[in-house]
Amino acid sequence: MNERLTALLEHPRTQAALAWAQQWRKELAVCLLMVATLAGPFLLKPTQSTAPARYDRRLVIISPHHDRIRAEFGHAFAAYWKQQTGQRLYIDWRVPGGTSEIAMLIKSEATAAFQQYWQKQLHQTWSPIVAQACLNPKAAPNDAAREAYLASNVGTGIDVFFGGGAYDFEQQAKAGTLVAGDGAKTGLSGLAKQHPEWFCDAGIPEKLSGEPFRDPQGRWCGTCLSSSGIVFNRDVLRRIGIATDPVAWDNLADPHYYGQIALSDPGKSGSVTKALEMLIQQQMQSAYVRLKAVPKSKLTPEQLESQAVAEGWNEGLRLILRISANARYFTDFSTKIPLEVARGDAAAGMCIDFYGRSAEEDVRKADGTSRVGFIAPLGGTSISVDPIGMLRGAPDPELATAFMEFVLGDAGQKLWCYRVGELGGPIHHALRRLPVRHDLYTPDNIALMSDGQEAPFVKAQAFTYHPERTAAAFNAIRFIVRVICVDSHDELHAAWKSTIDHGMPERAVQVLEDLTRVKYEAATGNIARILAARDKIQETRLARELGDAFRNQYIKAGRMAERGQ
Amino acid sequence: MSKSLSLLIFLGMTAFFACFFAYPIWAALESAFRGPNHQFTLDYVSEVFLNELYREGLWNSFIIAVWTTLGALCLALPLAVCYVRFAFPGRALMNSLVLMPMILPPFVGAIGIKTMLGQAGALNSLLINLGLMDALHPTDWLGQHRMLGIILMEVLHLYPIIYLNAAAALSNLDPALEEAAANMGCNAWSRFLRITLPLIMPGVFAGGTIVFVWSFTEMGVPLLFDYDRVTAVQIFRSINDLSGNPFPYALVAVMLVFSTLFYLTGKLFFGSASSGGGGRATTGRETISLPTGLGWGCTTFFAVVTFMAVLPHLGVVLLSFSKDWYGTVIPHSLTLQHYRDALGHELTLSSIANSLKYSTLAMLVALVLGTGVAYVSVRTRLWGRQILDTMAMLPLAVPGIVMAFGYLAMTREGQPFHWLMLGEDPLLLLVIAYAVRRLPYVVRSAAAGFQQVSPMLEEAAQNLGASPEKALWRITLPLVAPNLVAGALLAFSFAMLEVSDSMILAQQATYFPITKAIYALVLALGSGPNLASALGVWAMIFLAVTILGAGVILGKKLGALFRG
Repeated sequence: MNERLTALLEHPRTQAALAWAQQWRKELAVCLLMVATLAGPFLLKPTQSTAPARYDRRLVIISPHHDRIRAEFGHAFAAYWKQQTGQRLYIDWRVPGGTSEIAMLIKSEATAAFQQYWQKQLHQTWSPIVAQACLNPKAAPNDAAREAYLASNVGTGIDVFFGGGAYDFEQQAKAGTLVAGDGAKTGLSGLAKQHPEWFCDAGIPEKLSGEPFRDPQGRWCGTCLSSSGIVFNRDVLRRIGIATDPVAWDNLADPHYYGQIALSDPGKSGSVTKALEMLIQQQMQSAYVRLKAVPKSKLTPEQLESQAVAEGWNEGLRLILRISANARYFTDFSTKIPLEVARGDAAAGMCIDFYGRSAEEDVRKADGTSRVGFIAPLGGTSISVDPIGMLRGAPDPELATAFMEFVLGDAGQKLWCYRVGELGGPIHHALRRLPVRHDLYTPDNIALMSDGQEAPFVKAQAFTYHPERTAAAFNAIRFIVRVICVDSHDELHAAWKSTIDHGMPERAVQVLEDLTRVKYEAATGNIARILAARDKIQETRLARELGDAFRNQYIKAGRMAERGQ
Repeated sequence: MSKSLSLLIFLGMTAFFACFFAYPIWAALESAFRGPNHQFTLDYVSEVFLNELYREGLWNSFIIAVWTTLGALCLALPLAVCYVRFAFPGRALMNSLVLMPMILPPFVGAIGIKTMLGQAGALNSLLINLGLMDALHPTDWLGQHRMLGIILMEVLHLYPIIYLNAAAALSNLDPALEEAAANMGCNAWSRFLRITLPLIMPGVFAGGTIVFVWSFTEMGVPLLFDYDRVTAVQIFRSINDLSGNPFPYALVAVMLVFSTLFYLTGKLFFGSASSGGGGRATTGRETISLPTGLGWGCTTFFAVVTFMAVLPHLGVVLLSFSKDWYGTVIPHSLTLQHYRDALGHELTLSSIANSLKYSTLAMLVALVLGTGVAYVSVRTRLWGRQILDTMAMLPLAVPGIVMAFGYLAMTREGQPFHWLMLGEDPLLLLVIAYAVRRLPYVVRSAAAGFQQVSPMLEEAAQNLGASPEKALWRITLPLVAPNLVAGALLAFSFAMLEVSDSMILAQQATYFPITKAIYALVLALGSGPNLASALGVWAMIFLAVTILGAGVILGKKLGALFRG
C-alpha cells in the first residue's frame, strides 16, 4: 500500500501535477477563495422560488408593497395555482419605488405603447397634443386620441397593480389605465358576478365613513385596511421629559419634541399626505362641532360648513407647521420613519398602522414589553384601503383575475392578518394588516389574527371622512406643505428654536404662524388653479414667491423672539 | 500610431458618444428647453437662477466639492509621499489597506454610519460610557452638522482616487531631477514644492478633477443625510415628481455646464502638460529607511486613515450580525440569521450573476474605448482631440439618474435604439450605461500613463523599423499596462457598485444587479437594514477577493503601478 503510494507520488505525472500546483499556487488560492465566496449564495439558494428558470405562465404585478407582503402572497398564490392547475408560475414583481414612481412608470409605458398603436395600427401622426390627450381624463369627450385609447387594448406589459392608496387608484381609473374586465370571466366585474357576496355591505362596502372602498364600476377594489397614526419610542420620550405616550396629533406640536419628530416628504409619500389630510380633516370636524354648539348662531348650514372648513384648515396647517418645526428633517421614504423611531433617532413620527405595529413587534423583548409603541389617534384618522386592479391590456387577464380572486378570497384575506403558524396564515412574517372583508371578522377568525381586537369597522365610526372638504385642496396640501415646511425647514426649525428658547413670545409666534398667504380661499382658489393648469413655470414661481415670503417670515420671527417680542 | 488609425478612433469615439452619451442626455434634457407650446425657451433655466433655494443648492454643492477636494488632497498627498519615499513597517500591506474605501459601496456604508451616529448609536454610547456626554442630552449628529458630515464622508470615500494618481505620478518621477536639485543646494521643502509638485501635477490634477466633479454632483451621501439643499438631491427629489416637471432637467443642464466649466478651468490652470514627456525614471528610486519612531509614525498614519475610512463599513459588518443594536457601543446579541435570510433570498443568486456579467463586459468596453481616447488626446495632434478628452470626462458631470432616464427614453418601443433592449433583457443597455459612466477613470489613468511614457521610446522603435502600430503595441502599451489595469479595476469595481442606472434600467427582478438587490432589501420592513448589510458584506468580501486576487496574480505588474 505504502509502496504503491510512494510509487504514485514519484510518478512523473504526479510530480508534474505537483510542480504545476506549486507554480500556480497563488492563482489556485485566489480561485479557491473566489469559489468559497460564491458558494454561500449557492448553498443557501431558496428551494422553492416564485421566479423559476422555466415556467408555464407569468403574472406581472406592479406594487409598492414591501418585501414581506410580496413574499407571502407570491408563494401562497404560486402554490395555490400549482395545486389547482399543475402549472408552474413565475410571479414577476415590478417594484420601481413608491406610488409616485409607479404612476410615472405606468404613464410613460402606456403613452409609449399607445404611440406605437396610434402610428402603426391607426396610421395617424403622433404629436405632443395626442400624447397629452390620450391619458387625460379631462380631454374633450370627442377627442380622437382619447376615444381611441379608451377603445383600445393597449397595454403596459403589466397585469395587475397591487397596493397603494385609493386616491392613486381613482386617478388611474380616471385615466383609463385600469379596467373592469369583460364582466363575465375576467377582471373585477367578472369576480362580482361569481362572488356577489364579497361586493356588498356585509362584505366590502362601497364606502365606509366617507372613504371609498371599491370602485362602483369595478376597476379597482380594496384588499386590506390601513389607517394613519403615531409611532413613538418610549425611551426617547422619557429622556426629553414627556411622561405620557402621545394620544393625538396635536401632542406632536409640543415644543418638548423639538428636533425629535420623524417625518417624510409628502411629495414622496402618499401615506404621509394622507396622514396630513386626516389631521386637517379632524380640525375641520372639531371646528364644525364648536361652531354648531354656539347658541343662537345666525349662520346658515352652508355658512357654518364653510366657516368650519376655513377655520379647520387654518388650525390644521398651524399644527402641521409646528410639527414640521419640531421635525429633525424630512426623509424621502415613509418606511424610514418607524426605523428611525425604533433606533432612537426620533421620539415620534407619523406613519401607517402596520409599519408602526411591525416596528413594535420587531424590537419586542422576551418579556413582551417594547420600547416602541403605536397608536391610531381616535377620531384623528379614517380607515382607508390598499386596493388592487387589473391594468388595460393585461398580458394574461385570466391569471390576473385569478390572482385578484385569491387576494379577495378567504385564503388571501387570512394571509394579511393571521399570526405566523396559524393554519392559512403567513409562513415567515405576520403582515399585521387587517382584511377588507367585513364578513371575516368572526370571533373564530379574530382569535387567530394578530390585531383582530382593533375592530376597524367599529373604530371607523369615530371619524367621518368628508372628501368634499379637502378634495379641492388635496394637491394644494402637498404643495403648501412642501413649500412652507419641507423646502423651508432650515429656517423654520431655527426660528422655532429661538422662539422656544425665549419663552414663546406672543408676537414672534404670531409672525411665525402667519398663514394668511395660504388660507383656505387661497389654497382652493389661486393656488389650486395654478396647480391644475400644469404650467410648471407658474407653479415654480408661485413656489418661489411663497417660499421666499415664508422663509423671510420665519427669519423675522426668529429675530423678534431673540429680542423677546 | 498612424494618422488613419487615430482618425478612425476619433470618429468611432465621436459616433459612440453621439449615440450613447449626447443623445440620451438630449432625450432627457429636451424638456428643459421646451416651453408649453413646444417652442425653445430659456425660462426654466433662468428660473433656476432666480430661485433662492436652487442658488443655495448650487452654492452648497460647490462648497462641498471644494472642501472635499481639499480634504482629500490633504489626506492623500502625504500618504502618497510617505508610501513612495519611505520604507516603514507593513508598507505593502498598508498600501493595499488604504485603498479599501474604493471597494466599499458608499450607500452600504450609509446604513452603517446612520446606525452608529444615531442618538442611541454607538458613538453617543461610547461618549456617554466615557463620561464625555450627558445621557439625557445626546447629540443628534445626523440632525445637526449635516454639511460637515457629508464632507467627511466624501473625503473618506474619495481620497483613494487622488492617492492612486499621486502615487503613480510620484513613482514615475525621475529621481535624478530631485537629486540634481539637491546637489544644487535646494532644501527638502522647496525641492518638493518647486520640483516634485509641478512634475506630479498632471497626476494630482487627474485625481483632483474626478474628486471635485464627483463631489459636486454626488447624490448618495447627501441623500443619506437627508440634506436637500444641494443640487443633486434637488434634482433627484423633483425628478420623480410625477407631473413631468421640467425644472430638474433645467437644473441638470445648469449642473452640466458648471461641471464642464470647473473641469476646463482646472485643466487650464493645473493640467498643463509642463511635465509631459519628462520621461521615465533613469535611475531606480531608493526608498529611505526611516528611524523606528518615524517609521511607526507612518504606519500609524496609514492605519488611522484606513480605520476612519472603513469605520462605516465596520458598522455595516456589526449590523449584519446584530439582533438589535440600540444604545450600546457594540451590539450585545449576535446572530447569523441575517446572512441566512439575505444570501438565501430569491434575488441574491441571480443578482450576483447579473452583476458579474454586466460589470465584466462594461469594463472591457470602457478599457478599449478609454485607451483609444487617451492615446488620441495625448499623443496625436489631431484637431479636436481636446474635445474628445473633455467629452470622455463629461459622464462624471451628469447625475446618473439623468443618464438612466435618457437611456430609458431612447430604447422605448418605436425609438431608433429599441433593439438594445433584447426583448426585456437590459444587458446591452446596462453594459453601455456602466461603460460610459466608468470611462473617465480609464481615460484618466491611461492618459496619465501616456503622458509619463516619453514618446521618444516609441519614436526610437519606429526608427529601428517598427511600424507605428507595432511600436505602440510592443513599446508603449506594455509600459502603460499598470495604469490600464488600475483603470480597469476601478471601472470594474465601480460598475459592481453602480446605483442609479441599475435602479432605473433593471426593472425585472430576474435582471437585477446586486446593488438593486441590496437596495430592495434595505426597504424591507423590520430587519431590512440588517439584511442589506449582510448582502453588502458579502459584496465587499467578493470585491476584496477580486481586487486583492488580481493583485496577487498580476504580482509585480500591479505593484509596478506604484513603483514605476
